[in-house]
Amino acid sequence: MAREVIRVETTGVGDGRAGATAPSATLLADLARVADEVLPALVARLGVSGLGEIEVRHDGWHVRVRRGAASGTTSRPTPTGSTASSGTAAGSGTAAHSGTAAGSGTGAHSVPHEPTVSSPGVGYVSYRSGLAVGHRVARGDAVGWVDVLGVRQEVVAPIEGVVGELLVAAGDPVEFGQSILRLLAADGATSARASA
Amino acid sequence: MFNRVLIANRGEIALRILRACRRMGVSAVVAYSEADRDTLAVRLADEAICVGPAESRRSYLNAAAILSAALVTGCEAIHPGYGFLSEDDAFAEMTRAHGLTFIGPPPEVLERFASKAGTRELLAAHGLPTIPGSHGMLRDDGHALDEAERIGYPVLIKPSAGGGGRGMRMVRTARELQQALTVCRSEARAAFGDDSLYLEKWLQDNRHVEVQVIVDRYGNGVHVGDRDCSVQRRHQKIVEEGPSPALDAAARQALAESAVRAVVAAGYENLGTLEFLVDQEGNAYFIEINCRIQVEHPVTEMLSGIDLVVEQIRLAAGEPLGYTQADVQLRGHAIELRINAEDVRHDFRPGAGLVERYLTPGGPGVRMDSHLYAGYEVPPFYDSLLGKLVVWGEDRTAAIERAKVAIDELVVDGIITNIEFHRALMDSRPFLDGGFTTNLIDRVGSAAFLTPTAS
Repeated sequence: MAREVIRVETTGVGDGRAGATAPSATLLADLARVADEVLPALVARLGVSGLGEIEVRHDGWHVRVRRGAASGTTSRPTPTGSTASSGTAAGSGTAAHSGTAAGSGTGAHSVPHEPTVSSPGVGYVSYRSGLAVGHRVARGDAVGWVDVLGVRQEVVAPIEGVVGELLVAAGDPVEFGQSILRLLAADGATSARASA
Repeated sequence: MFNRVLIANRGEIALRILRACRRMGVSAVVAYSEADRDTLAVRLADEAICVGPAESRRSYLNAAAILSAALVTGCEAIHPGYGFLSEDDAFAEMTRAHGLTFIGPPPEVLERFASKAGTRELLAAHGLPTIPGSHGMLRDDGHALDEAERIGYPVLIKPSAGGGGRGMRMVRTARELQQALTVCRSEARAAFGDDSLYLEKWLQDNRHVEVQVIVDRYGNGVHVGDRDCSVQRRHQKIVEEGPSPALDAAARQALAESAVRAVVAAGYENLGTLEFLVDQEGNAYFIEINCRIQVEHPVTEMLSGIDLVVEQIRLAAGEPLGYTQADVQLRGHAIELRINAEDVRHDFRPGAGLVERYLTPGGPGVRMDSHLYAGYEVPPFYDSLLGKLVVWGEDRTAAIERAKVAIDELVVDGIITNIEFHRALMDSRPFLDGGFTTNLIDRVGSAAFLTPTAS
């Protein structure tokens, strides 16, 4: 994939999140906001944009989020602060990508080897209505969810691709990290590992 | 009785609970983190289910993941082991709300005994002697200074929640107290999510003696004797034995009887351990109750022949105790050595890595509870406990002799351990004399035991 870099000045951020706060805040408040709001927003945006890197500059600081070099097609945010399993994060803008971090596990820096989307939690699997083998999905699409005590944790396609195989029947239980479906990369030539 | 139980813990205690389930004919599912995929309990379980990544906050401490795992695997009860969610009344309540049984005290009992300060007041009202301390939680620094003045320095700052020495400090002056309060608050908040602190009179050179109790929901209770856990470093136990060398027969009986009487009267239920500090004059002061199975429970099992984990499961299922104090017979002396992955020569720094060779001791009166095997990789994410070597002898001398033989047989190659330290302790004068106090190792340093001059 071509490495495309965009630099986003705060005044030019489309959703306004990064530039919304007055610059008079203390350093600590700034850091907290960067960690809690800006980073998850950037990570989510990076995940669906197809870009290699996003950088935000504002006042004295700047934040750059870059796609991991080793993983190629999979976004690998390193922060561990967000969690998909508490249930409270489900449905927010960051929920999809907290699952990405969770699924990477101990193999975070290894070359992709398993062309599957894995479960972000322990519970029962459901697929998006009508989803079937052969369907094309865009990067960032919710392909389904895992029901954890009644709270949905989204299963998100980390790459654009074609559904190759549903590995778990809808309604069946899954454990954390279990492979849920196989996703073929959009060009059809390779399968890509994806931890959604 | 339950058909199927979820074991929500790791390491040696997950294996221990699995063995109890097997003995009872109860099917067991082990919940594990990604870092524990290769642990022995997972390998031996009837079923195992991954609940999250290595980070315990997202796996072993993740109440929703644990409950969901119990539900999807068809379990009827959850055994929390020790640490993690084992004394979390909110988790116990959630467990019940999902139609499952928490193996331990019921939620309302856990809640009643959740605050250490509150428990001291409650059990003091039921006849247990307590250490002079602050009235309730410290409201602010000014309150702390007033209370410390009233109690008299030195005082010990203690967090209301949790254990394991975190958030605890001994201070000798008002100035030290003021400095330590901030540190203790942040430590307690980080470790337990609760920064309430209280003060206790600091007893110099004390011993740690605890009483094991078993109480059913119908108000029947027995004690199963005492354990002495005075061999500690940084408030963490490394050797436990029973009966305590600090008490004579009359004092021992009086302490154990007062303990079980108090908890039954206060409405306690299931397994519990009452911890006491014993001063140089032999006065015992109640400090806290542990509402769970403890690491050192095998000491009591060796003395009594009672399987404490089986009792815990049985009582949680609603069975009556079924025996009386007269049926509990304690015999001989038992010693438990905690085998930890830690560097004794460098401040007990924890280690991790591949276990290249693992050979366990055997023979009469020797028991090894451990999740190790050759080829197992000890992950760096959790506590350093590798296993427990427990020995029994007809008296204390015989038990120590057996401990030495067993330690010499134990081989754990590939990772750093405290095995050598245990061997030195068994030859050290303070241990042989039965005169260990809880601060001794921290005061003289571990090196003093590793050189011949100390013994």
